[in-house]
Amino acid sequence: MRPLSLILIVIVTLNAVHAQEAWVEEIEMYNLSISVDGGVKVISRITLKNLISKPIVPGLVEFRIQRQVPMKLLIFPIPFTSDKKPVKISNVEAKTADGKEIKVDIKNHEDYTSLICQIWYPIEPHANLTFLLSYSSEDLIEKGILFSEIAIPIGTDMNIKKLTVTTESKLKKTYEVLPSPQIPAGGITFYRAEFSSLPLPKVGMPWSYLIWGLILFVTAGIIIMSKRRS
Amino acid sequence: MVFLSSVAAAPLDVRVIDNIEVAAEMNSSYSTTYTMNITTFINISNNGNDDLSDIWIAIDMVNNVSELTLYYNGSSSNVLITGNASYATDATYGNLKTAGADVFVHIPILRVGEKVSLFYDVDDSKYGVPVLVDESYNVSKVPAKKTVSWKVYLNLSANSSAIPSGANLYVNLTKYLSNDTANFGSDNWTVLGPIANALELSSHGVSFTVWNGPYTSGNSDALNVTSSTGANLTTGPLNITFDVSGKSNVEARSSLEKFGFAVVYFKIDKNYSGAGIVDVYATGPARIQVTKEGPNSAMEWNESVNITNTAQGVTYVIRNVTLWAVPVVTGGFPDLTSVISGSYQTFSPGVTVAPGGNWTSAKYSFTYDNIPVIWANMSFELVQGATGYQILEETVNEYNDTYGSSYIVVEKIIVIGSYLIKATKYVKPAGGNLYDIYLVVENIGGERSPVVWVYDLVPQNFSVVNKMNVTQASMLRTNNSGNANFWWTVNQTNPGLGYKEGYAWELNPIEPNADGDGNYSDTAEISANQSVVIYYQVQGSGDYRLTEAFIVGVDPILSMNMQSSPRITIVTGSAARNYESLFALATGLLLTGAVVVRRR
Repeated sequence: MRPLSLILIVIVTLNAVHAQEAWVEEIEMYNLSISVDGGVKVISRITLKNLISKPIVPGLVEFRIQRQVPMKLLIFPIPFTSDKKPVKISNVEAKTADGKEIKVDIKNHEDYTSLICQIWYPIEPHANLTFLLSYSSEDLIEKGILFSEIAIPIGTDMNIKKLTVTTESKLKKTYEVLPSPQIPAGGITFYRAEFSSLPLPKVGMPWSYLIWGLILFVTAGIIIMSKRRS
Repeated sequence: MVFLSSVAAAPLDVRVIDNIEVAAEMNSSYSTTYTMNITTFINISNNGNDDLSDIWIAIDMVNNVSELTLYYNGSSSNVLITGNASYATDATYGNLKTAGADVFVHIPILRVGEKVSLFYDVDDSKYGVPVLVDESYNVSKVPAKKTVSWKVYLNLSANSSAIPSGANLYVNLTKYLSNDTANFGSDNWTVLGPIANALELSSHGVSFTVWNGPYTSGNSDALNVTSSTGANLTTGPLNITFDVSGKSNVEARSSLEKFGFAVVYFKIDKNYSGAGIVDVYATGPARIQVTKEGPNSAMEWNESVNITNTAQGVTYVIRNVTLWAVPVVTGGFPDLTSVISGSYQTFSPGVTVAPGGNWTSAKYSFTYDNIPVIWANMSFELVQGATGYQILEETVNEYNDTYGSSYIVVEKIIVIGSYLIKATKYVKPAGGNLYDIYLVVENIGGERSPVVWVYDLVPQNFSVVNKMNVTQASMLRTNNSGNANFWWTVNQTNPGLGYKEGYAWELNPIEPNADGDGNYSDTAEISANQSVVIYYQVQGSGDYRLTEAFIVGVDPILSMNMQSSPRITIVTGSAARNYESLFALATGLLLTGAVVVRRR
């Protein structure tokens, strides 16, 4: 896990202050289901657990969604740069696990997008409430020539006891880094994956670097060889 | 504060003492963290008036993680520690029970007033903490920068699954307030104390003494909770309550502040780890005499033995006596193994001989036509009891030079340095089946709050009637009702848990320094926006249950109400990078460069 700068650092700082407070809720289960096709469809299935002996109403649950991409010169990304942007979201839907409606407001900020779920259903003492938020976005995938990359951060201001990620795609998954299974309040973890239409096995590193590095190396080799022959 | 021993000392005192070091840390979240270390000591003391010798102790060590080690040798000899049971058996003429013992200790001489102490470390993970501490406060958080008082509920109970069966557990305790960082306090407390209204909620009959402790500059900041024998927790927990006052200058939004500690003294009248003394063997001052009579005309000789207890205060039991005669050797030493036929006698009298007393065997005859030499030997040992040796077991808290006991319970409470929201709900009969509902939302902290959300639930068989409003009206940030008489931000039907409706009000930031009395008619605080009152009226019908109306929630997290649900923020998005176009560009540039060079 590592911090994700700016808005995430704000949350990390805030929770360092709260670290020893009495927690009233925690995320008992956070399942992130990602479908990769032309774009990305994300379904977050979250189980909130009431940790106290009185009913609580979760109220507002805000998803802050931010896109961090390298700055670009024409169509070419500039390494070691970062640009923070809001995310274009579509098909937003939220409901409880038993199908009750949850109202979602979408707010675009300068460098992130908020999906604010209004959960007015009380959770009984020490009981759970599971809700689902789904949305689609083409901004959550970085498409290249042969490969497409996703790197999704996951963090919150309360403890996540169990985090799982599942993916679905017609494309071949050629690289994957799983996130930490547990996240303390204020922490953050990443799920990274690379997809391609090429039938390549996983080799422990992104094929986009491997193949293009190889092409670059072979090209340089051929040029050097041909120059020596001439 | 010590516990008096209730057992009189015997001349030889063999004591197994489990020494338990415990620390407990309380939090405002009502959780307790314990750390514990058990060490078993075996103390052997000569409390009598006679020098004792040949002391053997057979010890059964339980769950030891270290060898038995000499801790203190105050005897006049070396101390032998051995695991060789047959050696111990031989040395005590078979009088020391060795079955079940792991290790044997031999002290050749232990004079009057001398003491030997041995110890080993116990595997603490095998045992639970003997005294459980549960502490709670009547508030979960207190605001900074004002003098506040909170009630402490302290419960001490025996960990029945951990203490030995049939044992009694006695406790006394002293509570100290402290703003000394070197003594479990926080120097953010500018005022701490006094302790007041101490009361026992159980029935141990403990007495309270408030006194001036050393860890704050104030008075009445320490409290002794005692009874003459200590409260016996095996008969039930000790519940006490007392009030603490304090003023903190915490600047942070939220800080878990230490405000002192309690020192717990405890004693268990049994051994905690299960270690045991299998047997003790010891001797003391004695005299043995043989008598030879004869011969008569038939050359018959008589032999007998007399054993005298020459000690001042110990009683012996005579175990084995052997009596025999060998031929005299003129000018030389008799051969002890040339036993004259008929002279060898061995017997086990098993008699006890008190100090100054003696025991004489019968006379035994044998025939020998020369001069015999009569020999006798014996084994004897101290009896178990008041005039011999006693084995005692007890478990005590580890002694601490500074505090008296190492069992320190560190106490903390959350102090809010910024805003602190308190919500109070009133359900008041208004005639017939009508009830007035008042939600009083106060900021008792020292800073302006952020936007506050207040949640409330309407039970089944109730209906909101007549009106619903917020005072002052300007404090309702968002009114989505569209009805001049009913003001709310969110109205949710069938929110679950059997409730009929849920309401939420989004309030503008509330000004600080409300007094926190929950008064819904405090016009001064209401007009200063320190206190906001939400009012509505419900009417019950059919089988309505008024008790279900007592529920209220507030957001944000810095709230006195435990049912507060903080606004949850989840961060996600994308940090993906794809540099394929850059790689393709580099390859293209390389090829282009090569072509250009080749054409030249």
